Amino acid sequence: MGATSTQLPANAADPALFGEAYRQAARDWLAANVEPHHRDDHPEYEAPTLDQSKAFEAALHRAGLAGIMWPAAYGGHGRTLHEHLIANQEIGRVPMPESVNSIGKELAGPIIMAIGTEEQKRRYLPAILEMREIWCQGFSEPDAGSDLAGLRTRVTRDGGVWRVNGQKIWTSGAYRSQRCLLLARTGAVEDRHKGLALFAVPMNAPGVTVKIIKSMNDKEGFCEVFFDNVAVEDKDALGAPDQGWSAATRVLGIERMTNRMYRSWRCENELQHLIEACRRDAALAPLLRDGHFRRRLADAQVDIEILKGHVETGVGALLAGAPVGARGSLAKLHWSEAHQRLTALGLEMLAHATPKPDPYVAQAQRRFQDLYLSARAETIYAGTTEIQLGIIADRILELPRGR
Amino acid sequence: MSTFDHMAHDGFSETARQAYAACAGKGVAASALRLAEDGVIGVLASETVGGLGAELGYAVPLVAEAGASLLAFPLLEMQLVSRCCATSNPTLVKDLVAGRQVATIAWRGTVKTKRESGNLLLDGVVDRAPLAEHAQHVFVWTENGEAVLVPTETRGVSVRPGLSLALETPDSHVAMERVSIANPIVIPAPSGDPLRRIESLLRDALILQAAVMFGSAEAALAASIEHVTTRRQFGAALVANQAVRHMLARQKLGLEGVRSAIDRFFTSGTESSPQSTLAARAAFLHAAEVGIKTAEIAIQLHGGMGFTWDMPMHRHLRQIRTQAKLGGVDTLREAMAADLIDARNSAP
Repeated sequence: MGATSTQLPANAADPALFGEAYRQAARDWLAANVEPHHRDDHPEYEAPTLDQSKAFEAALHRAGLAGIMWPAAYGGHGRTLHEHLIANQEIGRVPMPESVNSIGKELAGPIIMAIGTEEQKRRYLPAILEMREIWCQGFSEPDAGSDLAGLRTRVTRDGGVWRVNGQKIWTSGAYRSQRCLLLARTGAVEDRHKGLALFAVPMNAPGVTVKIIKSMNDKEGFCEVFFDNVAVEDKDALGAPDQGWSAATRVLGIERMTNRMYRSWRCENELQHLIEACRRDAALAPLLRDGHFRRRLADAQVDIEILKGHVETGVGALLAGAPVGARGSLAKLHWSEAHQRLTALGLEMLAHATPKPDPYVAQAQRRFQDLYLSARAETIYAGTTEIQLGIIADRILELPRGR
Repeated sequence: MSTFDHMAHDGFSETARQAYAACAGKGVAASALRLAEDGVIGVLASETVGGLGAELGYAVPLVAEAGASLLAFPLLEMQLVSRCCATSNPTLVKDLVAGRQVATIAWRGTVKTKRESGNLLLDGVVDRAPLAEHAQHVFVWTENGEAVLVPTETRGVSVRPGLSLALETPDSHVAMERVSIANPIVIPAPSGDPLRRIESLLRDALILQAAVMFGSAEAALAASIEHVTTRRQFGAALVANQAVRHMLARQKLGLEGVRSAIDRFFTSGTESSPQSTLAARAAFLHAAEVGIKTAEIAIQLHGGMGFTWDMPMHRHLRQIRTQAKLGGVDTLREAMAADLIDARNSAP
């Protein structure tokens, strides 16, 4: 990516810029700094290497487009949710690679800000934004997926350190991470939510073993992580046992609302890519005149508008100081299912392309094939569809148990 | 703050709810007088004609409540006509706002117009005009993009019931055969009117229709929740079943999407922009889809009772399906597809 060598045409990191001026600066920077061949809609698309991604994301931060709301004392830009939304809209419009440190920026960082010590904040947070430390999330276990409170990974005191023993799974990006946000228990499994504690475990600590799991979309992204008597120092314990988890879940409620706000604008980019590919191919163009596909394309746009509505309603509530509560579940559930519908539509339409499509159309085919398969995970991770429905039933509708 | 919360604070919604309850079984003419007392009809009309001169957002919770209350009155049509015609015919609009006369809108079709000896001649058949048989005026579109308010008592105008699912607001056909109007109230086409009133009316109607469907579906969902929490089978309330809980959660997800989409319309910026048109269409289409499903599921969850005439579930279903028809779901979806494929909607 060209971030390291390109002059910034305007700097969104300039604290004097607000509103539309900030938007324009963000737009200009992205236009100048996302390498064309790293855009998902480029005919000669190439996935960036890990080093390229890290360099680009560090530049993104320097340009004022990451760590937007984090305090300046911890490397952030100290801006409001309004600028966060604007930046996400602009990031969504550009089909740039997904962050390789989203766990650090969207999960670990906010949790550290909520429950970490001052020393921890200064140590961990700038390293996340500067891409010196990539984080992974050690929550799920083989026997504790949706039922997270059933997790078994134990931490015990051993002299002056904590000892971790257990296994985590579905740990995205563990193989490339420097830190793991580990959720483990200090007591018995029967204690359920009690005694759950959070740690920032260095992934190079002796006793940590990472095993990559190949996923159904032919990617090697998520992993199993084994902790064999791993020593963790007190300085890497986040919050007190018993308190860490409850504080973390409060943060997670807000994060579910604010994380990856760019999704609806990225979906819009995907939809436009699909339509443009159809226009360019002799066999696909007639589909744009077909009532069945026209209806589904319009439905996809309705889905995107509704998602934007969910995001903006959540932002409005947060700006007004209203409790977000379980509202994040609405956005997550709608987005994950709407995206599956969109990617399925793209896959089905692009399958009608001429046998030797031009490179732009061929890239659209590859993109939608990849998106379709990847999207299968979207109704599973970050709380499955069934978990989200349960949250809506319990916390938004407040349905009684009935027994 | 959500559009639906606008009026909650000053009790206007509660006042409206009481007015709607008082209208039950009274007929359209008596309802008009009752609703006028509380300012519900003239909420959008200017103060010079007795209205409140409020912005569209203030009508949203009122029509949503009308949907929930199954109000048998062309409320949103009256609100929009009163706003649209206040300048061109203040005398008539004063009567509408005061509930002395009733107007409705024929949502589909156009009529041919011709000038003859200073009079306007109208020919054609329009339909989807809620409660036109009880109205003194019907608002119709002409072939050249204008709109005309036609007195239904005029010679040559015949109103007959259409085939309608609706019980509260059945819609009618309005046929015009050489109808001659001496002093017609003509609302110019968008290009001829700096206020773009017709365009605004059509777009705003989508939001109000979405709100009616939303209110109706919310009422159906509330009834479902009440039923499943009190009805016991196999030793437990129905709500103990995950299948039931998830079904209700899905409806809530959909309805909150409608609420957010309506809010998005109000934050989409300048009026009559492509963005606000897109937002209005999306809100309407989502409300139609989610509303119909919510009412159908309400019938399902009520079991045999849900299939009875006395339970209001079918009334909500009929009302929502009728609003969906009035707004023209398929036509709108095609319009959206056309704009999307022509790339006119590539904005924020």
